[in-house]
Formats: sequence, C-alpha cells, structure tokens
Amino acid sequence: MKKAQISVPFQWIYVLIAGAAILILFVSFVARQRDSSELQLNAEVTQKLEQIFILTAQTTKTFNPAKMSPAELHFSCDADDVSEYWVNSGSAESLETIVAFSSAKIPVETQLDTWTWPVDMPFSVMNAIFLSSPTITTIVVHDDTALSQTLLLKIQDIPPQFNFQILSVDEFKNEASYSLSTPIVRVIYLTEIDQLPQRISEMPDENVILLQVESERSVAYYRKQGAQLISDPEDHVAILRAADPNPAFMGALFSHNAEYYKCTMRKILKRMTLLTEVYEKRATAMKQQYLLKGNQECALLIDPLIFSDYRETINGCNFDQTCAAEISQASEQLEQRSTIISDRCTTLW
Amino acid sequence: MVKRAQIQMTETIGIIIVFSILIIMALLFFTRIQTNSVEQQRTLISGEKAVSISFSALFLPELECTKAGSDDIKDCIDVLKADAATEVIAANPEYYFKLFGYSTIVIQEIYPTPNEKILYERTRNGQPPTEDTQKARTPIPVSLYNPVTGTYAFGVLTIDSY
Repeated sequence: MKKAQISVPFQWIYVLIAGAAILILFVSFVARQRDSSELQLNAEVTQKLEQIFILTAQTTKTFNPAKMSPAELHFSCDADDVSEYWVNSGSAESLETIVAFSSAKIPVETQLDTWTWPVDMPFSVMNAIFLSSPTITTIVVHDDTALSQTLLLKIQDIPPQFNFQILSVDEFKNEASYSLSTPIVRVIYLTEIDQLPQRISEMPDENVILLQVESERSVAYYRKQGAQLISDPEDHVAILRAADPNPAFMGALFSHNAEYYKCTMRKILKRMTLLTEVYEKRATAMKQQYLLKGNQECALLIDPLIFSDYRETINGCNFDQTCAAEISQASEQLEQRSTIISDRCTTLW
Repeated sequence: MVKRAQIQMTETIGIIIVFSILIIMALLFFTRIQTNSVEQQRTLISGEKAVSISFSALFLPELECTKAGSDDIKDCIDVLKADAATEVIAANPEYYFKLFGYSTIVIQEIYPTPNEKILYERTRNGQPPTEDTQKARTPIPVSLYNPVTGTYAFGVLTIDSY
C-alpha cells in the first residue's frame, strides 16, 4: 500500500473524530441550556410565589389571579410540622410561617388563583392564603336537606372566580351535565358520600381529592383507591369556630388531606401561642401603668392570666372535636372580656 | 520534501483546531452570559427578601396598634406590644428567624424622647453588625402609641437585611 492510499482513510478518521467531538459539544451545550432554563423557570416561579406570600402579609380579603409561567407547584405540610413548597423538581423552600391551604400539587398553565383572609381568634393572628388554579375542577355535591343547604350558603362565601361547580346529587351522577377536562378534581360532598362517577373513578388516585363536610365543625377526607373510597378515623378533622367566612372552615375545603390541614392549622396555633405570651406581658405592663396612674378600676379589670389560660387550652390541640370546641369557647370568652375592658380602659391586644 | 497528502492532512487538522477553538469560545461566551443572568436574578431575589422582611415586620400583629371597634391602624406600633414582643422574640429565636432571616430590626423614637430598641438581630457571622457589614436598609416612619396614656410619639422602624 502506498502512503497516499493510507492518508485518505486517515482523513476520514479525523473527520469522524472531529464530527463526534463537535456533536458531543453541541449535545452537552443543549443539555446544559435545558438544565439552566429549567432552573431559571423554577427561580422565576419561586420568586413569583415569594411575592404572593409577601402580599399575603399586608392584603386581606383579596382574590388575586396571579399570572405565572407553566409549572407544577408542590406543597407539603406533614405530621412533624415540616412545611415546604417547591416548583417542578426544584429545591424546597420553607413555608413554616405561612398559612397556605392548598392541594399537594397545583399544575399551573397560566394562572394561580390566590385568596387571602385574616385569621382572628379573637385577636388578629395572621392572614391565611387559599391556593388553587383553573387546572383544578372543584365540584360541590349537595342535596335538599337543611344541613346541606346551610353548608352550601357558607361555601358561597368563597369568591366566584374559583369556579366551584355546584351540583345536585343527580347532576353529579349524570356525567353529561358537567365538563371535566382538568388534570386534578376536588369533590366536596355536602351529602352522604356515594360511588364516584366513572370519569372521576378512572382518574389517577393522586389526582382526585375527596372530602365530606359532615357539619360546620367537622370534615372527613377520603382517599381514592381505584373505585374504592377510604377514610380512617385520623382523616376526620374538627373545625374551629370563627366569624364567617371562617378561614378554618374554608381551609378544610382547599386542603389536600387531613394531615395537611392539621399541620397548617398548627401553624396558626403556634402563632396564637406566641401572641398570647406577648399579650400577657403587655397586660402585666398595662396593669402596672394603670396602678401608677391611680386608675384602680382598669388595674383590677386587666388580668394577664386570661392569656396564659388561653395558651393552656391551645397547647397540644390536634383538632379533635373536644379541643377545637374548647379553643373556640375560650376565644369567645376572651373576646367578651376584651369588649368589656376596652369600653372602660383600652384594648387587650 | 513535503508531499501533497501531508499538506492536506495538516490543513484538515488546522481547520479542526480553529473550528474547535471557535466552538469553545462560543460556549464560554454563553456560559458567561448565563452566569451573569443568574447573578442578576440572585441580586433581585435578595432585594425582594429585604422588602419581604420589611413587610413582615411592619404588619406584625405582635407590634401593630389596634383600637376597639376599628381595623388595625397602619404604620403604627404599640409600644407596650413592642416591649413584650422583644422578650418573646428573644425567647423564640428559631420561629422568628423563619420570618426575619438575617436582619436587624430597630424601633427608634425620634420625638419627643429619642431612644431606640433592638427588636430582633441576627447576622450571618453571629457577630454584631459593623459599618462594613453589607446590608439593605429600609427605614419606615411610624407612629409609636402608648394605649394606657393614649399618647403618640414619632419614630422610625429600621430594617437592615444582610
């Protein structure tokens, strides 16, 4: 073989090696670009969510349809009180001081619906935020019973922009009477729970949220397992009494399950505990200042111990009917006491 | 003497090297742009964090003034609440760290009796902040209300976010 004959295949080998190197470079460049654009999207959506949570601190009683890039939002709040949110498969951000009632997953196409409402028990505790999206269909199933109708009136306090579909039991069974094109469906029963319509039954279990409002003070969550609906005793939660629209009641309708609801409510109780400590110390200082001023009546009326008693009631509550009722009752008593004192002296908080 | 095939091979290698250098330069250029935009994003997020802390402090129920039969009074701090809150915040540092992060929150009375109170302080190195400590400062004018005497003072709520 001559030298010139060898050089031709060598040239081809060089071309192949160079081509492969260029191809690898391009592929790695595209992969890197894809990763970085995903990171950028996650950062952008996280930033938007941060802004929403900042606004929660200052605006109340507001419905806000926030425009957002397509992303899948995840929320968790567990039995150990670890509460986080994350975007797509991004890193988790803490949500431990924010009261956000939400499903575990919100697929956002263009919009995230948010509604804020203050939690007063009886003093201002913090603002709760309710999250949903047009990609979640919420169906409210009712009947003609008095309880169902009363509950329906309460649910109608929710902003109409959330597009809850109010259906009678018969309408719910007749699948042709409503559309169902979203990836996630939430069914709120104000009636006895019944077999699911076929379309919902065929949906993936994790994409169906089921709850039954048993009364204004009690909600039971169900898990879908194929065609079966399962609810354990720990899936029942008690609701704190508060002025309508009661954020504790609304929160139960927006929560993914009992664990999420209880964990989110514990954030409220934690803040309430801290506030009772502040108000107890404030009451002690007020009492002393009234005594110095020679105002015996106000000094006698103000009793710092009412806050420590309230704190005792709050501590350790895990939303069974007894402790929820006790907290509600203590809150009402505290409010009555405050009204009497504020008429003659000053507010207790 | 150099043969034609050898010249051709050298040419090919040269082209490949030049081409590779061009691609590497382009990649470096794009990576630099990407890093810059991530840095910009990071600066923006830390700026927003400072605003977030300011709002958290300003709308804190632990500080806000309330009057019977009315909503909370905006931009007003109840001095008795502030005194009590300082103690409660110090006793529950982990909870309030989640709210305020690395920051210093100071309530300063300007008139009639100048004085100041540190409500919360946490720096990244655990040391008290110095003049050189990098921070974003947000001063907010507030009224300071004493509910027992019913008197108001003028003050500033200053939030330094690190």
